Amino acid sequence: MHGGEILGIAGVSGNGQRELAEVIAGIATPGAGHVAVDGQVVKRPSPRVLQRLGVASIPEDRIGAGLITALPLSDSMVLPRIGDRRFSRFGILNRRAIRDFASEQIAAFDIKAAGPEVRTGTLSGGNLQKALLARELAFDPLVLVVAQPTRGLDVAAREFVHRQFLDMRTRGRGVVVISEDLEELFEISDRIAVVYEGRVLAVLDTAETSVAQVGLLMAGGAAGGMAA
Amino acid sequence: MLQAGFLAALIRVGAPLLIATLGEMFAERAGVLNLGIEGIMLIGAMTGFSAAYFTGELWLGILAAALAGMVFGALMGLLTVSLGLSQHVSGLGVTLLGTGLAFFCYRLVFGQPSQPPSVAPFETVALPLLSEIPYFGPALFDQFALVYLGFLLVPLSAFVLYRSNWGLALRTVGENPHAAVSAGVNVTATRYQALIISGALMGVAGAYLSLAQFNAFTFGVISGRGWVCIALVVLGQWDPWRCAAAALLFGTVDALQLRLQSSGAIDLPYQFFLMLPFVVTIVAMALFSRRARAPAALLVPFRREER
Amino acid sequence: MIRLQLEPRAHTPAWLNLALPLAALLATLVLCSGLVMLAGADVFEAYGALFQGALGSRFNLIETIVKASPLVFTGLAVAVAFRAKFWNIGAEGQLLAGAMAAAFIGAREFLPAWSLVPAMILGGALAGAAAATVPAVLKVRYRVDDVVATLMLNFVIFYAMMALLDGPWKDPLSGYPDSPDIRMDAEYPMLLQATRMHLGVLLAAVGAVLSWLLMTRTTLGFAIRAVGENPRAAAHGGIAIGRVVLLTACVSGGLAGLAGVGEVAGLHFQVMAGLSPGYGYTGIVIAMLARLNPLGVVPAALFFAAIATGAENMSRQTGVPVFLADVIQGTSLICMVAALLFTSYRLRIRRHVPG
Repeated sequence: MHGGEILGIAGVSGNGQRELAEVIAGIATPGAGHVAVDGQVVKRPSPRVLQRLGVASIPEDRIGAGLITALPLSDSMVLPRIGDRRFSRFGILNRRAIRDFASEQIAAFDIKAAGPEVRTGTLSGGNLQKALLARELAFDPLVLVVAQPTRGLDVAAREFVHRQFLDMRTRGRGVVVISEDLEELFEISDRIAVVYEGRVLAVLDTAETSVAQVGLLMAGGAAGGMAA
Repeated sequence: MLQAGFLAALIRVGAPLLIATLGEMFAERAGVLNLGIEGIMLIGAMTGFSAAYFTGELWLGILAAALAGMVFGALMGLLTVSLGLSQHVSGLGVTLLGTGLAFFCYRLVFGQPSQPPSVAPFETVALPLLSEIPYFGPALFDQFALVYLGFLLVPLSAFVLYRSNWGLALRTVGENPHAAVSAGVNVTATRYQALIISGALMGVAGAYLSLAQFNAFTFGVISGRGWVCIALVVLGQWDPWRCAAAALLFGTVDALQLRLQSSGAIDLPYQFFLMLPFVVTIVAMALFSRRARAPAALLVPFRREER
Repeated sequence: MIRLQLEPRAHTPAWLNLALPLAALLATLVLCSGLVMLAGADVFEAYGALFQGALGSRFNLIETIVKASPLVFTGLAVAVAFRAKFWNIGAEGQLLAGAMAAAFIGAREFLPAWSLVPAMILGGALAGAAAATVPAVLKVRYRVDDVVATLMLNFVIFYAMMALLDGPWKDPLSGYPDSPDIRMDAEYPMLLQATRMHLGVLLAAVGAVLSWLLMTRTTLGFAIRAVGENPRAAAHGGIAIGRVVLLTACVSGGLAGLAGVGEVAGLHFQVMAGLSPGYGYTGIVIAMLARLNPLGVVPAALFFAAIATGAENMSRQTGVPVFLADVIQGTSLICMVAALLFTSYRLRIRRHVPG
């Protein structure tokens, strides 16, 4: 994908989207092919390596793979970057910096939480998603990969999230949105890739395709010829 | 080593492990890790011995041991099923409690006499005709009655587990409790039942040691064999026949180390032989755990409201 | 109709952290009083004798403190391990490994006097760490259950120790299985003159503080907590789970090893068969009572040291079998775990009006 664009990934759930997200996040190793950032192949992908290259990812499973419900919110929010100089030096944590960071993000993203030290599990779904967004966006990633970003969110939260993506695009960053919500993809993506049974069937310009065509591809239909 | 005597010995040594392992298997098939096994076996050994000593009836001892085991199985149920507490810690608590109670009650009842009390242990029972088969006969069919009980438990457990309604309910509860609920199974009741059965079997296994293999209760009568059964269930892949094989395999190692000790063939301190069964267990676990497929709901507490 | 219902809590009020262990201990004493009565003794007299024997005189108090020192270390070892959900039931074996290392080092003639104590401490900690690393590697690489692996190793180490005591370490004069004494210079200095309160007590207190700092103020402690609570999220966050488990095992085993060093260098000056009457297992109960908080381990260890020290006195005075201490140990673990329920749930009394 290119900088300054939002790439949507459409597909019926279970066709390889989760695996794709995990490969980009560095959790899973690709069976074939590789991940390349800025033209450079990532030799041994891992979450840390990809993070350092500027790839941020927000997993689909917010409480299973994203945040840690039993720990304080501030801990969950600095989890991926605990080794960062801002939060720890020589292995010693800077608790004040961690707390301050969490407070900042709570304010900036309007996260409804009593404070940075509350148990992560007390937040609602929408606020959990905001927290996950905040923790990645605060570090200005080059590419943000996010799965099902607005599932279970109310209208206000959904708009907020979309605004963040558009904002990233304006700043020349890239966003990969994996979503089952075609409406959402058509709203914000510049291009849409359709996955089916683990393969990318087509990558289409949003302006030149239709919901019907994408829907057909999602069900495995042929790529060409069926312009609406 | 392949003498009939050795075969008899390995069966004699492996039988209590077989019974206890089957007990643990039932609990784990229902989704509950029962780490109370060592303590329950001790309670069984102590209760069985005491009952047999005072009533003069060995089988009453076995019955008492089974009942005591069932009580502790129910306690595990209370902690892990009704209260949904950590299965690891609950099990450790039951073991520590069982151990403490066993020692306490034994000391209370028998004091500290210079001559420790003992009973006339079980005699072996030679089955007519079967025990006359050359070579296998005496080894397999001239054993304690409890060994025959162990033999019968294996196909019985397999039948119950794979061919009965309750067994199906049990397996479903252990794999996917929510699906079990949809099918009308009472998850709580099933897990309690599994734990009570497992407690009964563990109690009986303990009593086997104090009433058949030895003739008294000593503080070291179990000495880690309960823990070994946890490993044996994994090695036996939660299947009755394979668990039985694993138990007999361990019995082989245990009997072997006794032989090696007394034969003096290998010149090592006897403690190395005592260590052998535990080392073998670790190695076996290392070789087989990768492929082990535990019941899917093992260790997961079942809470109706949770997603 | 009145119904009791458990409903989930938003967060745990701080006072519960102290109230729950106390409630569990109180419940334990109440439950065990039944056994006291069964033994035909008066409950208050028996418990009185128990605590009198533990705290009644300066001598008894010091004995209790000395007995608490290995319990603090094993409690810390388990508390750190359990935080990562590394079920280290092997503190008993790791303690013995540390003790054997200390006894070996402490008896070496070629080491200069000043180096003996530091060498024993270092060697014992390393021995304990090594003993814990084996099950950790088995868990990470071979998916072997940590409960089974750590437990089996306890027996292996114990029999190895007995083999040594029966062989090269057998006392040539008495024929008893106890090892040769360590050199005079290897003995821990006493903190209080003419008492048995040795350096190990101070080391235990320091260990508790350092462990607390590790768990709350370092990246490793953060990683340990994350891995224990949610390994998937930790992995997504870039934490190397295998490495964290191994490091946890090293710290845990090292702490347990130090318990063993203390017993050899500060108390017995040799290794014998009865060196550890189950300190490793008591450590589990202590860690749970302390809710895995290293600072909480200290009072919990003192409690169990008091129980263990006082049980003899109680037994002598009232005839209640000394094993009441073991029953108290098991019961308090169960009560504590049950009490933990109230950290996540609160009890609501609902009045049902039928119809």
